[in-house]
Amino acid sequence: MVERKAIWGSTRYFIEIEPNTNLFNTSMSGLVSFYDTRDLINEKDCENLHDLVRTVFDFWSTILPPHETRVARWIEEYLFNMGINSEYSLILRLIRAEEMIEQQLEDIIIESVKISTIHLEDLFEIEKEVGIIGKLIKLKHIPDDDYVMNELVQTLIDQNQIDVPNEIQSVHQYVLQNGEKQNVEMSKDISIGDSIGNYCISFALVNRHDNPITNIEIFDQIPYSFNIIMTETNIDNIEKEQIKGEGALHLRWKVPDLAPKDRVEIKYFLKRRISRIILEVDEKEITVLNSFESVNPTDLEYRATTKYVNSRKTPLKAVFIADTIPPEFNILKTTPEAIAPQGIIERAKMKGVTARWSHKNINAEEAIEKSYRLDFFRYLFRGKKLIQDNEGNDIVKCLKIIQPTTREIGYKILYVIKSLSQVDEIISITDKIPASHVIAGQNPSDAQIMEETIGDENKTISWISNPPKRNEEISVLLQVSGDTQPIFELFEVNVGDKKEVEVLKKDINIERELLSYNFDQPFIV
Amino acid sequence: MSSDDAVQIIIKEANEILAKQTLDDFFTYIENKTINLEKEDKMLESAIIWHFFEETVERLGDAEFLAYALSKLISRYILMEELDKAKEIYEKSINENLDSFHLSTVRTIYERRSDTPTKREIVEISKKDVFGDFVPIPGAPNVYFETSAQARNYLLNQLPEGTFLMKVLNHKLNNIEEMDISTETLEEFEVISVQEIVRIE
Repeated sequence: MVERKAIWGSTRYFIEIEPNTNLFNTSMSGLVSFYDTRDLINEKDCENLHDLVRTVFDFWSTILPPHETRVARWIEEYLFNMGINSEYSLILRLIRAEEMIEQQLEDIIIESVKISTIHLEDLFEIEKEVGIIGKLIKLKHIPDDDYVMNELVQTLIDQNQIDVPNEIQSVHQYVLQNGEKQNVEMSKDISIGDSIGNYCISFALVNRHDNPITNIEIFDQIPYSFNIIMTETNIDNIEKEQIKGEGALHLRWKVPDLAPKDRVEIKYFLKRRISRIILEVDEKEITVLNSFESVNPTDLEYRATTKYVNSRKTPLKAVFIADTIPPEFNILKTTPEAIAPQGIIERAKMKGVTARWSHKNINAEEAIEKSYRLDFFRYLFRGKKLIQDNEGNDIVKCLKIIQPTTREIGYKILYVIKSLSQVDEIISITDKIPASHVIAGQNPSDAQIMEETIGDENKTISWISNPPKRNEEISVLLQVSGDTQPIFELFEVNVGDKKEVEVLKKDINIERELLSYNFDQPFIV
Repeated sequence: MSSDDAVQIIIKEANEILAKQTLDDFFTYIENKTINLEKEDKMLESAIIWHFFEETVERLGDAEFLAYALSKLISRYILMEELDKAKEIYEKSINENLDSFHLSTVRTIYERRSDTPTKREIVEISKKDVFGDFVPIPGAPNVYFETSAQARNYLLNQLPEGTFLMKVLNHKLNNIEEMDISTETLEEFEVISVQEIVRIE
């Protein structure tokens, strides 16, 4: 628990530290606040442990003559009282010499070279569509000093994290009737899918020429961070090839020809994979391996199993593993159980979960397996539409929030309409839910909600309401029963007999937010 | 060796470092030497060295290091109970329009010691509404604060649960700073957000 603790030797000044993670290492960030007996003096969001301890030290040195060892002991005791086991010597080092460890690391690392990893794919039992990225870090020597070694491990993990992109690289090629080759490079957005944890990429190649185009090739690179669950196309005479590239699966779609105004539509449905970094520590080198593991649904939960094998004929000094779990998931249980110091589950504020493992003296061909039982992190879907007239005036703003309750009960959908100008016509919101889902309750009970089945898969629900007064809001809360995922799609809005005719702008993002949605009092955010 | 000699040697060596190495190296040297002096309770000597550093970085036009030097000087004079000299440096920092985290901390400490608070006023509070948009709310308090952090703390204690955007006017520096505030009771969500602007006819 965060506490306000007096600076030793002062009864007037206090410091409070709120770390963003429960894991003590040089990446530990957090908020440091200074108080006197009257009130807060200042506070600083510190980027890492060095910034954090120096901020405490600088403030301490403002109040009293500098005293590094006392500050280090004070911080160690402070973190211990929060349940975080820190290291006095590392804190002291960071206070005394900011660039010392960094400098030592620069001196140790000689070079980094790419290596082949094909022989590891069967050993690690990875999926056939995924490759392993390998790099050899040559060192002058393995640091004897534990702190420098820990920092080296942390630095290599940080440097080799795979950033998950929100777009993919793509090339479209085709031949015009006059024989001229066309080559168009582009980025395609990775959009959200129809429910939690699903993503999709959807695009179309349209023949905008007056004559047919031939030898059409669409070349997409899907990063290994994503698992392709399914693809859809609108035409039959399309061929697909795939090869494993560096860091991405390369897909090539071939279509023999396309008549003017015809189009090829391709849609990928994706899920995120666990991103794994493995550090194999040998006598004078460290091998860095990036691999990827899918998360699979089993019964009511999700599971992932990862395997590592020491492929060498000699033992390794140590192996460090960092598994970054996709942000939509939370770890329920690990096998083996993560018990410090060998296994630590790091939960970084507003980021996600990483499982870290360390093993010493790994024999040749020895295997290390980890499995994770996962469930979704607390999530919600927030879709909103700003409705404008032909002159660009804002008329109404409409909102849909989906918040799952428990799996057995289903979920709640909140719809809100806010008038931004004087509106006199009836407003309706039309939305979709799976056909098997049932509206089990609504608040207010007299809100006009209509259901209509539109096929085997989905049914529509419509909320029809008189408009709220200007700058006022009205809302309806639906309790929906269903044992499958809700649909993450935006609704349609009609104002009187006016219908939506054009999407002027669309933004999609997924990020952590601090919220307090209480659907009994829906306007607390 | 007298304290005076020690100071002169430090200044001489610091000048040599400045001539041959970077400004960062010069700063590191000064900081290490003053920490050692202060460990021996030689606050006055430390202040002399920081004055030397202040004059040097002022001549070189480095505002960041100048702000740090002035914050060091204000805090050293407060430690020595030399409030007149602390005031002189404090006013210089205001007149030079300097700002940094450390300077802001030290200024506040000085202001509370000397009872000359800077007026900071909350001029607008916006609350994140159910749509996820910030909407100005009535009720910005007619209260002055010494520090922005204090204004933030005040609001954390006064505001209902939620996320807010606050604009604070610093009367002395005549500028407005914006800050995000989330009350502690909020929970972390993975939010999938889709926004569209659509035209109807």
